[in-house]
Amino acid sequence: MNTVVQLENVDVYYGNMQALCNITLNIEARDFLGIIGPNGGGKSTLLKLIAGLVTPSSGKVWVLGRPPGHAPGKIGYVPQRFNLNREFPFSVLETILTGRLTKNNLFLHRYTAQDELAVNEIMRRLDIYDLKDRQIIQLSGGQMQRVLIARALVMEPEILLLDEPTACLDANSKSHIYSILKDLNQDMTIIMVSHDMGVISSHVKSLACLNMTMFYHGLPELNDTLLGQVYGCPVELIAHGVPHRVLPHHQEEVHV
Amino acid sequence: MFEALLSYNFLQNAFFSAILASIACGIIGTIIVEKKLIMMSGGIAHTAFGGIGLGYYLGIEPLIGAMGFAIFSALGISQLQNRTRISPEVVLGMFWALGMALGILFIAVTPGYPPDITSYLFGDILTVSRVDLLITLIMDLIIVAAIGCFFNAFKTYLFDEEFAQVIGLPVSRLENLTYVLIALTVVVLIRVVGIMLIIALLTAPPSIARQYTNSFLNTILLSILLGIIFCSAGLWVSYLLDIPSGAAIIIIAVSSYFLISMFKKPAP
Ligand SMILES: Nc1ncnc2c1ncn2[C@@H]1O[C@H](COP(=O)(O)OP(=O)(O)OP(=O)(O)O)[C@@H](O)[C@H]1O
Ligand SMILES: [Mg+2]
Repeated sequence: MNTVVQLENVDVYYGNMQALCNITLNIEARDFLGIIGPNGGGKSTLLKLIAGLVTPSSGKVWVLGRPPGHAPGKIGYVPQRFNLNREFPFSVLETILTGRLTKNNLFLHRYTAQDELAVNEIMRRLDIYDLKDRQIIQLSGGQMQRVLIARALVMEPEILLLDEPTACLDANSKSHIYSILKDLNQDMTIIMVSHDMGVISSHVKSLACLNMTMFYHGLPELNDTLLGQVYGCPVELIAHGVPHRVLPHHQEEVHV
Repeated sequence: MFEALLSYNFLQNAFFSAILASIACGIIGTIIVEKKLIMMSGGIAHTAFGGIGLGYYLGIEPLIGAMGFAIFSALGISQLQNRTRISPEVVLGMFWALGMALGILFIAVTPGYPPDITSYLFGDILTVSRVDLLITLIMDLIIVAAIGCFFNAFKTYLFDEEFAQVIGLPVSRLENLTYVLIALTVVVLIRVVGIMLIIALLTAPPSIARQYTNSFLNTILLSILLGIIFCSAGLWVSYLLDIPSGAAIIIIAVSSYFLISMFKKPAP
């Protein structure tokens, strides 16, 4: 196994607000890592760190053996909040095509027939082919989310970063996306933030619990004490309906 | 009009200037509307007035001074917005007013009669010279080459800066280039409609164009065409009725925008 993402004693500050504290983490190739934690726990910050969108205040980060931001084209990223210009005159097709752009041939760049083929295939796979010519501004939240997942997948990245990728999706689309992810995971490392314990318990290979510091990183098996520590609050909501694999020492009455 | 156009040099210059300025205006206008840099462009234009004053003071071509100030303010505003926690609006407002203040100050301390600054504030397309035309042509070439050669990169950057950064596009270079191109366009347009009126000529054509097309490239092309129509119509009216050309162009552009927006449903 080789390590694709390596963090060593990483701190991240926004101004004087600390978002991540002393994070040390190794992620192996072909892992499917789920990241959980409370709101404001630094999950999105961790993904942005790997994507090269925020810089660590101290500590070291390596992505595919290089500093973050130096392996472009190999990192696919689906953000939690869409900081994009929704009024821009772009169709769904044009939006997904931008995933094929690489920094190496920007001069007089034209998208090739091959690019279009790849985009068409991914749109079919994600059931958004019908939306092809729709303008971005005309999409619903869930449609938009699937378009952005398609844009990340069409890059054929080595590492896929997903920040609550299915938060706006209906049950069908959700399970459809997870079956696709499972397929892709055969040769792609996936790092995914989710608040959905059901999803985490049934799809990920390993789990990280983050609340500024890393409380747990390992097999997706958890106990109430740890969850209580991570969330710093009653975990009833979280534990409710969670299969036994996540809570191996599940008692009759989950108390907190 | 056509006879006059054939026989008077200054009308020919004005007409060519209208066409050339509309090219820069259509491209950069579309970008600033889509990227929401309208007020930013207004700020750059007004800051450029400081350069005009400095030009007079030093006895050099005022438009050269304007270009210096425009480029400096464009890059300065972007640096201050990115590197400090001062509110962008505040930075913009400060530059805006400071540029005007410096312009007036330089003109006041310049010995001799005060120059006529109205033509810089409100434009005077009928006084465009051959040299002005040449400068405009060079600016057009720079703008078309920069945007044309990196068209897909620009579109991606304008649409989603964060994603552009993740896939490794040189985002800060694209941003600086955009700001410099805005500054160049501002300088080109000072001759045509003047500092005070630039914003309307930059924004009216793309705002109309967007009601008819959902393509970025077509928005640009249509904006260029509309710019040419507005400028030459304004030029014609101003020649016929002997009214200020900058005002005529802007009144035509803005009233067209309102009329069209009222009667046209948004594009599907
Ligand atoms: N751009 C920013 N500027 C300042 N502070 C920020 C910024 N982004 C995040 N933060 C702060 O950093 C902390 C971690 O934020 P982050 O978005 O990583 O949390 P999260 O775990 O993704 O939360 P959620 O579950 O709500 O998505 C929060 O306290 C937040 O207030
Ligand atoms: Mg988040």
